[in-house]
Amino acid sequence: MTNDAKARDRKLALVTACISIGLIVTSFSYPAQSSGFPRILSVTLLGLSLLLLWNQRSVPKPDVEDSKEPPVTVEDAQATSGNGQAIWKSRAFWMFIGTLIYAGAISILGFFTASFLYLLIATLFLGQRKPIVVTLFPIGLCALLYLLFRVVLRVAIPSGFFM
Amino acid sequence: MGGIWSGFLAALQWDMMLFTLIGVVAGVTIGALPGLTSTMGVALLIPLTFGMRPEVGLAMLGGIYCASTYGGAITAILINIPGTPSACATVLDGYPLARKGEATRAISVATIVSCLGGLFSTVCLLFLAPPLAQLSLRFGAPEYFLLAVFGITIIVSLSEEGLEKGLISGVLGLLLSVVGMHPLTGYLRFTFGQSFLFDGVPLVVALIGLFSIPEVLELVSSESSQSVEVVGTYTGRPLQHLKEALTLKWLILRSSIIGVIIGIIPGAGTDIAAFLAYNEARRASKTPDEFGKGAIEGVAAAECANNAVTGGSLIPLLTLGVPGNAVSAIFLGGLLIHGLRPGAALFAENATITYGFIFSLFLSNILFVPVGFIMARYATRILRTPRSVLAPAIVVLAVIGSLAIRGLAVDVFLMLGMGLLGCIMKYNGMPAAPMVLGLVLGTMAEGELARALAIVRGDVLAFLLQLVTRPICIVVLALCVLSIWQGISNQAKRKRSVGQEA
Repeated sequence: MTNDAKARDRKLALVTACISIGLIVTSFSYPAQSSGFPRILSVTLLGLSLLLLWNQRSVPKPDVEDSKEPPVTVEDAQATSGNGQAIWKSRAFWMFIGTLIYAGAISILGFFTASFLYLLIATLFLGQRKPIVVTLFPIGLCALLYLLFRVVLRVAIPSGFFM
Repeated sequence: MGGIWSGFLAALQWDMMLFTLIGVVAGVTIGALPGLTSTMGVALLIPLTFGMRPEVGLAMLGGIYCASTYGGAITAILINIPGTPSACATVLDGYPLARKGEATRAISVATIVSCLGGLFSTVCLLFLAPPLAQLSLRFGAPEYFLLAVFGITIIVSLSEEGLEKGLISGVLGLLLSVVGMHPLTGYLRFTFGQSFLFDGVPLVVALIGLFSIPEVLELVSSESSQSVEVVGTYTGRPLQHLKEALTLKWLILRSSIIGVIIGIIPGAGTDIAAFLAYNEARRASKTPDEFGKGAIEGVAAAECANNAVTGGSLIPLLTLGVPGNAVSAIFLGGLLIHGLRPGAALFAENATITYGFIFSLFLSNILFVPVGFIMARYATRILRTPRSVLAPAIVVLAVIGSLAIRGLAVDVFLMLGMGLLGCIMKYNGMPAAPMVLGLVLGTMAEGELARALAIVRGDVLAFLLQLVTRPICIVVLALCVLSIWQGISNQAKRKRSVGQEA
C-alpha cells in the first residue's frame, strides 16, 4: 500500500470516527427503546474506525517499489501524477456541479425543460461537436421519457413554465 | 400446482413478453457497454416498473439481470474489456479467440451456454424455492433477526479490498437504514426535522445514486478516447456453432451446478462462479495448456457459470428475504415497492406474480440468444457510443428515476448526495455492495429485534437464551459463525497471496 493510500485511509478513519461520535451523542436524545440499535451501530462504527486508524498508524518512508506502483483509479492518477490537477479543474467536478444546478432547476423549469437544457449543455461540455447529435439527442431522449413516464406510465413528474 | 400453472399463463401474456424483451435488449446493451453494470442497470430501471403490474415489472428487471450478465461477454471477447465483472474470466480465452479470427465462434458458444446455464438455474429456482419458503413459516422474530444478522455477516466476504473498510461500509448502510421512524415505537430518529426523511432513506433513490453517479463521473473523467478498438467482428452464423456448444454437455452441467451453488451462497457473485468454473474446466480438460490461449471450453465454462448464478441468487432472496449480492438486494427493493414481502406468503398468496416472474426468467434466458446474436453484429456501433452522450443520459435517467418514486424534487438531491458518498467511497477503496446489504437488511434486523424483545417484555437475557435454544436459531447462528470464519480465512488467503506476489 502506498503512503498516499495510507494517508487517505487515516483521513477516512478520522471522518467516520467523528461521524460515529456525533451519532452516539445524538442517539442519547432519543428514548432508550428507540435508540438502542443505532447506538450499538454507532459504537461499532467508532470501533471499526479506530481499528482502521490503528492499522494505518505506521508510515513507511517512500521506497522505490511504492513510487513504482501504478495508480489504481483516475483520482489516484491525478493525485500521483506530476500534473497535480486540482479537483475543481477536473471534468467530473464540473459535471457534478452542473448536475446539482440541473437538480435545482427542475423545481423552477420543470423536469423536461431542465433536462433538455442539461443534456444540450452537458453534451457540448463533454466535447460533442456534431450538430445532429447535439440537437437530436436531447430532443429524442426528452421525448422518449415524456412518452414513457407521462403518457404510458402516468407518473407524476414536476412541471414548470412550459411542460 | 394451481399457482405454478397460473404463473405460467401469466408469463405468456403479451405485456409480460414485451417487457421481458425490452428488459433483455436493455440488459444486453448495459452488459456490453464497459462501465455499466447489472447492478446499475437494475437500479436505474426499477422506477420504470412503478406503473406496471408487479409481475410485469419484475419480469423486466429479470430480463435486465439475466441479459446484462451475459452481455459482458461480447466486449470481453471483442475488445478484451469485460463489460461486467461477471465476464472477467471470459476475457482469458475469449479475446485470444477473437485475435485468431474466431470471434463469431466464441460469441456463439458463449451465448448458447449462457442460455443453458441460465435455464438450469431457473429450473433450480422453480423447484428449490417453494420448499425453502415453506420452511420460513417456522421462523419467528428471533429467527428473522438472526437471518438478517447472517445477511450482514456476508459483508465480511464482500470486503475484498480490506475487512475494516467493508465493515465500515456495511455499518454505514445499517445506520442509513435506521433513519426515520422506529419500527415499533414510531419515534423519529436522525431526521433533523426534515419531513422527507420521516419514512427513512428511500431504498431505490439511495441505490440509484450509489451506483450511477460514481460510474458517470468515472466515465467523464476518463482520458481515454471515446471509441474503443474492436479486434474481432461478429459475422453471424450462430447455428454453425450450436453443435459444438452441445458437445460440451458435461462442462455445461458442471459449470451450471457451480453457478447455482455459488448463487445460493450469499456473498459470492457471478465473477467468483465464473473463475471457479473456469478452473474446474481447466482441471478436467485433456488440453489444459490451451487455456488462456484461446480454449473454447474456457469461454463456455465462465459464461455458463455466471448466468447460472442468476436463478441461484434469487433463491435466498425470494424465500428468506436475504439478498446474496448487490443485484438481488436491488431486486428486494423492487419487490417491496410493489408491496411484496419474501417468504412463504410470496409463493402462496402471490403465487401468480411469483411464478409468473420465475417463468419470465425462462423467457429472458431464451430471448437473449437471438437478441445477443443480433446485437453482437452491431457491437462495434454500440461500443462506439460516445461518452458525451452516455454520461448525460445516465444522469437524466437517474434523476427521473428518483423523481418517479415519491414525486419529491428533494429526492433528486438525496440521490446526488448518495452518489457523492459513492464517489468518496470509491476514491477511498471502500466497496459499495456491503452498504447496500446494510441498507436493505438494517430495517429487517431492527424491526425483528424490537419484536423479539417485545415478546419477552424487554428481557435481554431471555432473548439471548432464545437465540441459543431454538433449533432454527442454532442453525442460523452456526451459519453466521461459518460465514464470518470463511470471510476472514478468505481475507487471510488473499493477503498471503498478495504477500507472495510482492
